[in-house]
Order: sequence, then C-alpha cells, then structure tokens
Amino acid sequence: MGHQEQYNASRAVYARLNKKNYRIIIGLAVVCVVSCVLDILTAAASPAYRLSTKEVLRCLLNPGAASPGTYVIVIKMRLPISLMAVVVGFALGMSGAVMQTILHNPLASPYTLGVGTAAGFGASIAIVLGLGSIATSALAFAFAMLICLMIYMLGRNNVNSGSLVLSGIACLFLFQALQALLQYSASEDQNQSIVFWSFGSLQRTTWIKLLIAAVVVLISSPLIFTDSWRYTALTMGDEKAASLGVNVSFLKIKAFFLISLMAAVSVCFTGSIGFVGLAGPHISRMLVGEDQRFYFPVSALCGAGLLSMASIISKIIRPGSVFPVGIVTSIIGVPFFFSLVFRSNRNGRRG
Amino acid sequence: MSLKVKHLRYAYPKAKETVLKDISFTAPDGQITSIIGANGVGKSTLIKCMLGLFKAEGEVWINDVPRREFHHGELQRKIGYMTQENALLTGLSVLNVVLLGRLGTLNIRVQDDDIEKAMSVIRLLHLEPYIDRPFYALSGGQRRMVDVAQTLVRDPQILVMDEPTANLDLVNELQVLELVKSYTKQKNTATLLTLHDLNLAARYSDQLVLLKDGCVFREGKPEDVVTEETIREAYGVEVHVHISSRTGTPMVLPLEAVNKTDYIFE
Repeated sequence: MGHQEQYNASRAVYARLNKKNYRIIIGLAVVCVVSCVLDILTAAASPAYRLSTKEVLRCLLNPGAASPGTYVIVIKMRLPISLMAVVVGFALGMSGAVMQTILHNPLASPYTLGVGTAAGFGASIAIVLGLGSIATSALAFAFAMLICLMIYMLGRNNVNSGSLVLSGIACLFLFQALQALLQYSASEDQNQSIVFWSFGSLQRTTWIKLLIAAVVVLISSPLIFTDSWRYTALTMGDEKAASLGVNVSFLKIKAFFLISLMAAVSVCFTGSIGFVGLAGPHISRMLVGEDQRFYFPVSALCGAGLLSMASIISKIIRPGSVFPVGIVTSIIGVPFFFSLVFRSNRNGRRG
Repeated sequence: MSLKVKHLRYAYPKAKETVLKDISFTAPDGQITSIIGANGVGKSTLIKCMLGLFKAEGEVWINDVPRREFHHGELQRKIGYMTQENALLTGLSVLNVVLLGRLGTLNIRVQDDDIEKAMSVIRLLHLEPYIDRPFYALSGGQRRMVDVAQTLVRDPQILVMDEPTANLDLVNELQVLELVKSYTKQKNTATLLTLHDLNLAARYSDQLVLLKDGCVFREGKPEDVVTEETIREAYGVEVHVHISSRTGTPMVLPLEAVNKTDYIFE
C-alpha cells in the first residue's frame, strides 16, 4: 500500500469508529425536541378546560394572534416550564458526567454529593424567615455553591478521589440533619412549604428564571466541551493525564466551578431533582463509551430528554393536577435504570 | 535536544529523608542514557523532578536553556514521557489512547494529520488489529505497547521512558528497545530511560547513571559502570560480570545478597 492509500485508510477507520456516535447525538437531540413539543401540548387541566392541540400550535407559531387566555397559558406558563425541563435536565446530565470523570467515581452526581440537599436547606431557611421567592432561590443557590466549595476544600489535599465522594456524602448528611432541625422548629405552614419545595418541581418556572438558567448553561457547557480531550486523558488516571501534559489541578478547579454553577442554578429554581444527574452519565457511557467529546453531550441530552419526558408524565399521571417532577423521575426512572445497569455488563463499554 | 540536571535535590512533602540529595548529569543528543539503581533509590522520582511534575531544587536545562524559560505547551510538544504507573483501565479505544499522545495539538474535530500520525505509529508497533478494542480488554504487555505508541506519536525531541519494558515478554522487550534505539539515532533525540534489567540497560544504553543514596554513584559507559564492585556497592549483591561475546556488552549473573538472610519457616 502506498502512503496516500494508507492515509486514506486511516481516515476511513477513524470515521467509521465515530459514525455511530454522531448518529446517537443527532437521534437524542431529535428526541429532546419532540419531547419538549409534546410537553408543551400536554395539559394538566381536566379534559373540559383543555386547549386543543391546534390552538396551542397556532399560538406557538403566531403568539400575537392568540386570544389573551390562550396566550397566558401557552406562552407564559407552559412554554417556560417545558423549556426549563430541557435546560435543567441538560445541566444536571452535564454536571453529573463531569463529576464522574474528575472524581473517577460512578456514584458521583449533583444529588448524591448533596448539592440538592444543601439547596433545600438554603430554601428552608428563607421559608422559615418568611423571605420572598427571590431570596429563596438566592439562598438555595448560595448553599448549593457552598457545599461544592466544601467538598472541594475537604478533598483538595487528598489525591484519593474516593475521599471527595465520601466528603460529599458526609455533607449530605449534615445538611439533612440541619434541615430536620429547621423543620422541627418551623410552623406547620412553613413545614408544608419546605416539603413542597424539596420535592423538586418545574411549576415555579418563570421566563426570568429560565433565562438565567439557560445563560449559565450556554456559557458553562462550551467551556467544558472545549476541554473534552483533557477530560478524556483524565479517564486514564490523574498521573497519566499529567504525564500527557494536562494541568490536572487547574482542570479540576475549573470543572468544579462550572459544574457547581450549573448544578446550583438548576436546583435553586426547581428544587432537588435526584435521578437525572446520575442516570444521564451512565446511559451515555453505555451508548458512546468514555470518549468525552461524545460522553458529555450525550449525557446532557439524556438528562434533558429524561426530565422533559418526566415533565409530560407528571401532568398525565393524575388529570387536573401536576405531580412533582422530582418524584416522577425517581419512581419511573429507577426501575428503568436498574434494567439498563443489569443488562449491560462491563464488556458493553466502548470508547 | 540535550537534557541536563545540575545539583537537583528533592524530598517528598512531609518525609524526613531527602530522596535525591545532589544529582547532576547530562543526557546528550542522539544517545540513550539509562538511570539504574536499587528499588526505592529514586529513579522515577528523579524523572518526575526533571520534567517538573515534582517541584525540586536545582536546575534543569533543555538544549542549554533553563526549563523554566519554556512554555508549558512547548515542553508538552517536545518531550514524550511514558510513566511507570499503569493507566486506569479506561474503556477508551486503543486508537483514542494513542491519539491522546498528541494532546497538545488535538482539536475536538481530530485533524487528519493527527490520525495519520497515530495510525503510522500503530502500524509500526503492529497494534493495528486492536485499534477499536477498549484499552481494558488488552493484556498487560499489549497495554505497554500502546503506552509506547502514545509516547512516540507526538514525535518527541526528548524521549523519557520510565521502565519501558515492564510487563513485556522477551520479543516485545527487544522490539521496544530496538525501536527506541532507532528512534534515538535517526531523530537525534536525547533519550532517558530507567531500567531495572541491568543486562538490557548495559546492552542498549550509550551511557548509564547509577544512583545510590540520593547521589550519582557511577556514571559513564556501560562497561565502566556495570562492574562486580559497583553492583555490589549499589545493590548489595555479589555478582559475576562478564563481557558477552555475542553483544560485546557486560552481562550480570547475580550470585547472592551480601547480607544474606536465612529464611526460617516454622
């Protein structure tokens, strides 16, 4: 074989290896879009008061021409909620994936490391003090960032990534206890608000909240994505990555900051949604393996799709009311997740 | 591109003893320099200090320029470093693992240049049948060969390999060292190895650096460094050394430890 032919063959080999991964990304993106549209079309109201599919679609395409009632329902309520499901799912899937890579631990996710619990505690303080909804989100955000900082500081001096995960789990217990303490001394009304907040729900979404979350995700994810090859080197171990020229501690600080931001901004607006940040990375690894250029986007899209579908289910489970989406993701998601985990063994992993 | 250290000194954080007390030597262009010495003497530590992965006192010069005057990225492209530690068992494909060796130039969308380079090294090392296999599914020796490919793929001007023959069988051992030798001569690289196999070290190195007690104990041509007396001093082992009629280099036959232990099992 001549040189030119060999080079062409090399390129062909590489293209073949990646082709399937591109298809998976496109497929998942389509699933997310379809699910989001279905989510907008799905009504929680009892059948008598529902808008027809035609009405909703017409309003989406030409909001100016719709009647004021329809406009409020579709543009002010349904649209931001459905988009928020996609944005938050994306953020949770992405931050879970990055956490698992930098900690070398498949148990890591925003929820298992206590980000959701800490945010819940922050929100509870605001509720008990009788502060408004802006302060509730702000305190939830502050505590979510705080726990990420705590996990990072605790684990920083130890090379062992297991200790980082352990310190996260320890923080989770701490904030759970603190929240219990707060609930113990709170009034009945406050308690109800706290419990409702901690369920995890998309119903509190407004356009402003959606905008903030979307901006954070749109800024953070490209910053993570451009480092894909460095994260890929990290899957071979911190020492190996350093020998390949990766500045491991800087990469980890940067990653920690960005995913804390994404996780915190998600939970502060929606409450604790547990399962998406753990399932996204695992499904992604089964589909595309550990090449982080594909693993990150696929995990994020899985998260977005999962939460969007959960949002649909939360509306049709009991007509006339919306089930908290955090409960739906766990109850429907966990059995599905088990089936995936037990069906695929180690040999199913690719890269 | 020569590699030079002057008065290098290093102690592990919080450790009482200083591992490396005063190390100076030069690894010249177009030659293989091997660091030898007993277990725990600091061979790998020395390499990590020289590459700046550990912060040591003393000076490191690359091509007669102090290392600190180079940019991180520039060093990354010039130096190929293969660790002794095995990589985590990632599910990455062999092709991706090799491509990671070109991390300095890799884009999200991999350039043709990087793929071609990776494939040519893969062909050279006969790894073609494994390119789409996950790294964890390879044998220990195959993984080592992939490590070698990953190190060579960036066309380094300085080659640093920590125990390149660990886990390799006889044929791969020879193949890797022959490859390193050809690469060193053809590309005129400064090549620095650590080797625990004295016979291989003596056969393939132009220069040996024998460490003992944190200092350079002997330095020079293999036949000057590998003698019965120096090996007894540095390793605490009585050996018989003869010059092989086939390779013309010193061959070491270990006889017994100087401080012999009587193992008694009850």
